Amino acid sequence: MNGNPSDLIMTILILMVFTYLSRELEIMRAISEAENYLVAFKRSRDRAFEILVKQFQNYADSKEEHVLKAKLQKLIEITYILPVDLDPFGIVKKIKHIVKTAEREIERDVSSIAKNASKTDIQNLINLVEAVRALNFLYKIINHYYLIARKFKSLWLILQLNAQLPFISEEFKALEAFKNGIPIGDTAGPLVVAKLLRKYKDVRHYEPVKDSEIDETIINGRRVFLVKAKGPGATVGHLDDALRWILEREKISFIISIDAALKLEGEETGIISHGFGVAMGGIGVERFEIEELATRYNIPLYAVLIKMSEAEASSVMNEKIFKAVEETVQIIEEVINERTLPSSNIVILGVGNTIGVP
Amino acid sequence: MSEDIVYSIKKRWLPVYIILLVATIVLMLGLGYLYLKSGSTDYLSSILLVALFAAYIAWSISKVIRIKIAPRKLVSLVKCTHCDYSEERNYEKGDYVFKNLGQCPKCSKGRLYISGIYLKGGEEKIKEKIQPLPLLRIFSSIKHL
Repeated sequence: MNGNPSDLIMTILILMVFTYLSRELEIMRAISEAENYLVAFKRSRDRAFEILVKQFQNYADSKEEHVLKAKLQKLIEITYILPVDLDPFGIVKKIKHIVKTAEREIERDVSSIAKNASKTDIQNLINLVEAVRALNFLYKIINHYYLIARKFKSLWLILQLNAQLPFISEEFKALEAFKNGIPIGDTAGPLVVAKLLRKYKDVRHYEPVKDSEIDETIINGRRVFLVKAKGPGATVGHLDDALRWILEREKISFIISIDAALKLEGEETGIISHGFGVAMGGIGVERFEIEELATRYNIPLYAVLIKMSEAEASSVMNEKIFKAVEETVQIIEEVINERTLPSSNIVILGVGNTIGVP
Repeated sequence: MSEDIVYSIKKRWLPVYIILLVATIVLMLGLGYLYLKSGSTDYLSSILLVALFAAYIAWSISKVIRIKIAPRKLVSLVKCTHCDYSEERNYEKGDYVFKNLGQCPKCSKGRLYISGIYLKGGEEKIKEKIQPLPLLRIFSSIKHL
C-alpha cells in the first residue's frame, strides 16, 4: 500500500465487495440446491397424480379424463383438522372420531368414482389417494417456504429449507407398491402374523371388526389369537377394536405386537429389537386404546420391532426386511416358549399396512 | 424415487460443466501465451485465478460422475410346502404373497407358493467404522513412522 490512503480505501472496498459477493453466491447456491429438490418433488407429485388418474380410469364409469381429474383433485386437497388441544381431556376419542369419519367419507367418495372396483381395489385406491395427497401437501409446503425465502432473499430461511430437504425426499417414495398391490416395508408386522397362521393353521376365523381379522390357533400348547388387518387390500385395520372384542370374551395373559420401527441413521435395515409396550406408529389413537385395555386387564405388553427407514417403510419391501420377517417368525415362537406358560391365551398383533398379504 | 430424479437433474448439468472446463483451459492457454510474449506477471496472477476456477469445475464434474444409481429388481420368492425347494424369479403381474403355483418339481409331494415379494439390490451400504478425517489419517500415519 505504501501508506497511500486511496490504496487503503480501495482495499477496504474490495473486501466489502467480496464479502457481499460471497454471501450472494452462497444464497444462489442454496437456492439452486433447493430448486433441484423442488423440481424433483414437482415431477414426483405430477407423476403420482397421473398414475392415480390412470388407476381410476380402470374402474370408473366415466372415461372423460378432465372430469376424473377434477374429482381426484378435490380428493387430494382434503384436509384433516385435528381437534383443539387447549383442554386435552378426551382428545384421543375426538381424534378417533375425526379419523373414522374421514376414512368412511373418503371410502364413499372413492367408491362413487371407481364404481367397478372390488373391495381390495378400493382399499388400494384409497391408499394411493392418501399417498398422492401427502405428496401434494409436501410439495405445496416446500414451494411455499422456497417462494418466501426467494421473496425476502433470506439466507436463513433457505438454509433451513435445505437442511430439511433430504429428509423430506424420503417421503416421496411410496407409490409403486400401492399401484400394484405389492407388500411394503410397513407390511412386515401383518406378514409375520400371516406366516404364523400358514405355519400353524387356524382353528377359528373371526371378522368382528371392519377391515380386521382374528384367527385362533395353537402354538406350542398355547391358544393364540392372531390379529391383523384384512388383506390383500391396503389397510391398517382397527386392531384396538379387535383386541377389545377378544378381551371381552377371553382371559388373555400376554400381548405381543410386531411392527416396523424407524431405524436410526447408521443402523442396518432389518435389525430386530425387542421391547415392552405397544409397537405401533401412526397418530397414536389405537396405541392409546391398546395401552388402556392392557392396563385395565393387567396384561403384559411385549413388542418386537423390525427396523427400517421411513422411505423403506413406505416403499416396496426389500430383501433385508423380508429376511427379518422370516427371522421374526422364529423369534415369536421363542418369545411364546420363554415368556408364557403352557395352556395360556396370547394375542399377537401384526401392526401395519397389510397390502399384498391376504 | 425422488432421489433418482434429483440425481438425474444434477446430471443434466454435466455438459455445462464440461463446456466451462474447456473454456477455462483455453483461457489459461491464452493467458499463458500472452505471459510468454509479454513477460507481465499480471497474466500469471490471472492464470492462477482461472486455474482455481477450473479446479472447482473439475471437482463438480467428478461429483456428478460419481453419482451411481444402484440397479434394483423386484422378485417373487417361490417355496415348497414340503421340501426345501426355493427359487427367486422375476415378479410377474398377478403375483401375490401365498399364491398357489401348483406341484413342486423337486419332491412332487408339496405345492409351490409365493413366500414373499421384495426388491433385490439398490441398498445403501453402511460404513462399519468411523473413518478419521483425511488430515488426521496423515498425522496418525506420520506418528507410526
